[in-house]
Amino acid sequence: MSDPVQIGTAFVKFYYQTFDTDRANLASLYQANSMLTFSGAQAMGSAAIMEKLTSLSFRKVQHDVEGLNINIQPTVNDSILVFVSGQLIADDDSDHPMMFSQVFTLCPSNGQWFILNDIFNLSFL
Amino acid sequence: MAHNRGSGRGGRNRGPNRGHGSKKQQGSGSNAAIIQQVLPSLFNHADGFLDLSNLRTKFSGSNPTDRTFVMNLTRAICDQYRNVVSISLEGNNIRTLEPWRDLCQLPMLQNISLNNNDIRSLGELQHLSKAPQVTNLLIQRNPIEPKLSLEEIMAYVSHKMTSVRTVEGQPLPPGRLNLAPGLVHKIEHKSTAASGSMNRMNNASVTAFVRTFLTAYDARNSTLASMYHEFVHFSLSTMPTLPAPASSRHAMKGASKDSHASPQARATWQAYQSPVVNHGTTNAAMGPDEALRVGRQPVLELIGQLPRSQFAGESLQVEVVLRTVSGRGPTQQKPNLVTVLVEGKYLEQPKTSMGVTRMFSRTLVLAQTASSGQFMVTNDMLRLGEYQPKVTRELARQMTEAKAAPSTANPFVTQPQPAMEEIVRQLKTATGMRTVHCRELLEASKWDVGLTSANLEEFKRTQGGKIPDHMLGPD
Repeated sequence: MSDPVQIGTAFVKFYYQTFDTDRANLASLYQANSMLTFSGAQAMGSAAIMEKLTSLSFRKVQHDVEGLNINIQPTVNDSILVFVSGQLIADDDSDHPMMFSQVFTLCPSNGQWFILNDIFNLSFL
Repeated sequence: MAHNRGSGRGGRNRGPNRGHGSKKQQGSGSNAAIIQQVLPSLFNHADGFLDLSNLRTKFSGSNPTDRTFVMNLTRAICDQYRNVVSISLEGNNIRTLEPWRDLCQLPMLQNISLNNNDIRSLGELQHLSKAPQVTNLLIQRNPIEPKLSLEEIMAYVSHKMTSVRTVEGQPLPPGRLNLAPGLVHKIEHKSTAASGSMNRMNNASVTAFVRTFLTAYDARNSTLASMYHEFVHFSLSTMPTLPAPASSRHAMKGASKDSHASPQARATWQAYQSPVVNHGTTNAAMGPDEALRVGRQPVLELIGQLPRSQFAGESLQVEVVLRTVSGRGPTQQKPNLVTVLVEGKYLEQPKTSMGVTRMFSRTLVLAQTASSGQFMVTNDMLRLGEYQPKVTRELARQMTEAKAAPSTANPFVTQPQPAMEEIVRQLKTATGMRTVHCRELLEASKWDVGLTSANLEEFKRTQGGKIPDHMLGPD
């Protein structure tokens, strides 16, 4: 397998740029058995996951892609585990950036990578 | 009236009935003292309504799905608020009602709202089946599976909670409702065989394993060695910290990977580094703030050199994604896999006087290669940070809730309560105190006007005969 760190890093940049500009385009990254846990709320399958992601009460989100802290490890079944934390700004409220943590498990399928597991938490403890 | 919310943060001056100065409470939410302090403000004496909605905002640092916290809370309620008539549990991410079942002991409880939670199975209502008087039940906006019609829900509820008369505001039809045994089975026993399904029981066992793992990690003992897979990957890094929330745009743009760690975080990280600890890999993407080890022995070696810690505390937030294998059960080649994200506070160097509380985020992948077998940790990513309470809880809550925001008022009462507002107004006219202090005074005496008067006199005596100027005002 080619370098998981490269794959993971490229994926992360693509994911957040897509999330920030056109969230609905993320649909192709999730498949029928993908699972999302978004601050405790769970969804399974591309349709349910996209419904969750497009129904957040904030209209605009901007992740600080350059300042992300990314850890990548290969994991079971040739998958890649990606652990991201960083900041995001919601609805242009740049006085209140928020910390978040996100975990992805990426799986290969027909030469493409898709998200098998996705866990997102805002850190505000 | 607008109910008094958000008083979980103990930093407000509570006025005449708190003699001692207020401190910001930073303990875990299961702390009985915090519960005692906050609970009175959630109870409306006039209509017997106990507002337990959105507990995360009311009890600083608490997790309303944490069993210990909930048990402490319900115990306090059963001891001191036996005349509760209505309870709202909205917006608490509740998945199971098991820790809440002590609420059944409240003899006057009639109305319960479970709207806007995370309940997957109507079967959870069995935990409330002993409530003797509950007549009205709300359970909307929960991801209940399988999808049931209102009639089916009513039939099930009428059998499990026999006192109930209305569900979702609709009255139950008279007479005994027909409850098909097939329906009961459908409600209470969901299929768990499909790959990727969420098995609730295993969720609990995973969380238990995570706690055991963290305890073993804290102890650095041989149990820990047995929990790590032979080819485990472990990485350790520091979290970026929030920049000062000034409007300086360059705080966001151009923050390169190297500059993300604050000077304090870097200094602490430097303390971890020794020639042996650093860089178990030649991977160029790993910056100077990170270390990676592969394989059980090297990982244990690295861990052995880190400062002592206490991760297995009370206020952990554990998110689990479970992947179970169908058919003949998990094997070495096709294991059950769990991805876990654990976040919270931990104590560094707990036994020394320099012990400090820090934040952490930890991702684990667990693999189970036989149905009865233990989980093994195949991936462990530990990220350490500082204590950063800069994000407002309210913003975070708004971010994660979908557009239909939950109602925060008493869901069982539609009229406003003019009588209380009038009392506040009268007190304000009589004393010249600011509205917020009038309200605090009245709430502290549970709206007993005579007691309020006596408390106020007592307070004035301690203040040299009059109300202090900072408490007076037109608002």
